[in-house]
Amino acid sequence: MHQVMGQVVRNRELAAGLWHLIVEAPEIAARAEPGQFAMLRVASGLEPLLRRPLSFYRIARHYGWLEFVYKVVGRGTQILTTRAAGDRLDLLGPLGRGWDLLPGTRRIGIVGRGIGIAPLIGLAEAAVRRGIAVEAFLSAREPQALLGLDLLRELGCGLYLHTERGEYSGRCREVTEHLEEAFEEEKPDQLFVCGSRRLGQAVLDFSRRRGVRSQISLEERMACGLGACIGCVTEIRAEDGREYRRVCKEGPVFWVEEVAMLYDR
Amino acid sequence: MTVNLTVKVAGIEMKNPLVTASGTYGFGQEYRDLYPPEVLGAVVTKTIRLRPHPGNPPPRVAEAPAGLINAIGIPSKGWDHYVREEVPRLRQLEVPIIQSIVGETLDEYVELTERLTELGFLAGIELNLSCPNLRAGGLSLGLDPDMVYELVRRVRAATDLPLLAKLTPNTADVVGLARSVQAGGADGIAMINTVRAMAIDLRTRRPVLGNISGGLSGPAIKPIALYQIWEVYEAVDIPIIGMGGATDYRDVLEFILAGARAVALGTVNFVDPSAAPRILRDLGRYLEENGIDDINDLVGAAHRT
Ligand SMILES: Cc1cc2nc3c(=O)[nH]c(=O)nc-3n(C[C@H](O)[C@H](O)[C@H](O)COP(=O)(O)OP(=O)(O)OC[C@H]3O[C@@H](n4cnc5c(N)ncnc54)[C@H](O)[C@@H]3O)c2cc1C
Ligand SMILES: Cc1cc2nc3c(=O)[nH]c(=O)nc-3n(C[C@H](O)[C@H](O)[C@H](O)COP(=O)(O)O)c2cc1C
Ligand code: FES
Repeated sequence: MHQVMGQVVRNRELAAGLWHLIVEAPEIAARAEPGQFAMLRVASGLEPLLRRPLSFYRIARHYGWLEFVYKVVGRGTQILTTRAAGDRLDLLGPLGRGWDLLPGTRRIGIVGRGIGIAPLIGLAEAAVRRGIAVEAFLSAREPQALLGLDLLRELGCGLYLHTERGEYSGRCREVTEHLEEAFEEEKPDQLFVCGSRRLGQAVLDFSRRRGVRSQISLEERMACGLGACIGCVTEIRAEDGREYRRVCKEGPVFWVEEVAMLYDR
Repeated sequence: MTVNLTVKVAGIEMKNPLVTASGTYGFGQEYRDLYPPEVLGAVVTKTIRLRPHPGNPPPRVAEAPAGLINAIGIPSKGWDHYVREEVPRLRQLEVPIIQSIVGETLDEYVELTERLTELGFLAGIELNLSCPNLRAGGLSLGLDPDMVYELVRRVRAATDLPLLAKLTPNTADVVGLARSVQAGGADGIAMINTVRAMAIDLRTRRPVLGNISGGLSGPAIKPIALYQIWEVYEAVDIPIIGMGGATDYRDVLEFILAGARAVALGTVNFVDPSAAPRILRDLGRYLEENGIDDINDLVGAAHRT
């Protein structure tokens, strides 16, 4: 973990309310893994006070770049849009536990919705680099919000897309149907999901039925991001009942069968 | 000119007046990648309990104007876990360690104190009397001067270690509480803990925190902290560790001028996790530039007429 003054390389709007931020921070980029995150200090003063957690979208080690995609939802992300190339940005990272590509994995599925697609893109890149086949199941309100689509195409990933409006809205299909169809003959070795509880539940069901080792990335309100405040807990199923674990330290990536909220329906 | 930053608080020698606020620095490991804990005057660790406790349901934190509201609820994995997992690492630190404790009964405070004293490595014990999330018989235990006196007296009899009492600000009579802990035999006072508060989410029209209410910390509470420290400094003779929203060397000096002998950094650790070494550097520079050769000369100096 490092705290560094990174330099903004680029910060621009991809689609309405969806921004792509690139920051040069070589110390962090050198150690960052897909699924991990950084805490960004958005204000120069004390208001808003807390840092904001953002997952790594892509990690470009040889440039020393960290890429983020963020959705403007409140004051902090709004302030972030005002940062321009050349500005300094206080970053803390890499934080948390990223995705686990298990030894022997040959084929995976990434399942993402909306901004939840962001942390899956770096994973797809890393997987393809290791010769692993990637099928991507992505959904969003509109086609412009399907993050990383061009990149996934370039990487040769199989694409299963759904949007509420526009190009991919024709056949309204549940992600479960897509998963069944894509993996009818041969199950994937692992699935990775982020973006909504419903999606997590679909992946949990599929994984239990077909015996697939799957992971989910969770969000929780954070104060420190580094494990000190115990503020960011989620309920985990343990041998003797449920216990709280820190999303910033033991997560944000968890095995789906551990995550208690996926069982609360 | 070399300036003296060493202070002695409740019999504990500290190489500078910066310590950590309980609950914001874990057990001394979390910030190690950024700076060694040995930079600090002392480490005050997260409050522990005798028995395991899950803590409050999430969400546990909410942002407020220049502040943070938390309802962590003092989760604990209990004594055995503490001894097995935390103590070996705490022993490695070459800095005074002050362990904060809380009990559900007076007996639990006494028992924890006895056990901690036996471990032999601590510089002191801090009694968390002020957790707003804990109740004893309806009223928060730490609000009743008689109960607080009784508690400190009993714990005092159980240990020779320096004993700090951490007070709640959520009272009409903080001076009364301070006098009680002094009378009970405390060697020092830590103040202030968080100010009872809540946040409401307009979108859901419900409280943000799983526990409904929590405690406010950060710059928002600094003026409250300053005044309470000011009042308590005038009323008691034992030293004060001051805290509540300090974010830079100026805040630290203001707390010292109001009467604090040491200052704890809490919420600022989340905002700027390298705050301690930064503030320390600035503090030394300020003293040098202003020709002050001993930080102790500033303690309570705002009271002088
Ligand atoms: C591990 C992790 C990774 C994330 N990755 C991304 C990402 O890659 N892209 C992206 O757009 N968003 C991501 N988020 C969500 C992002 O942190 C929030 O959208 C952001 O903090 C909102 O800040 P704000 O000031 O704009 O909103 P406000 O609502 O004004 O924020 C108020 C407070 O609530 C917190 N908060 C609000 N929404 C969330 C949320 N969904 N999760 C956690 N805390 C929240 C803020 O951090 C802040 O402390 C991630 C969250 C976590 C926990
Ligand atoms: C997340 C969090 C957890 C805390 N946990 C404890 C605790 O376990 N015991 C305690 O005595 N105080 C606890 N506190 C209170 C702090 O030690 C301190 O008294 C308070 O936050 C005011 O200082 P600050 O504004 O610098 O943070 C906690 C504060 C925060 C923000
Ligand atoms: S945010 Fe502080 S422990 Fe996770």
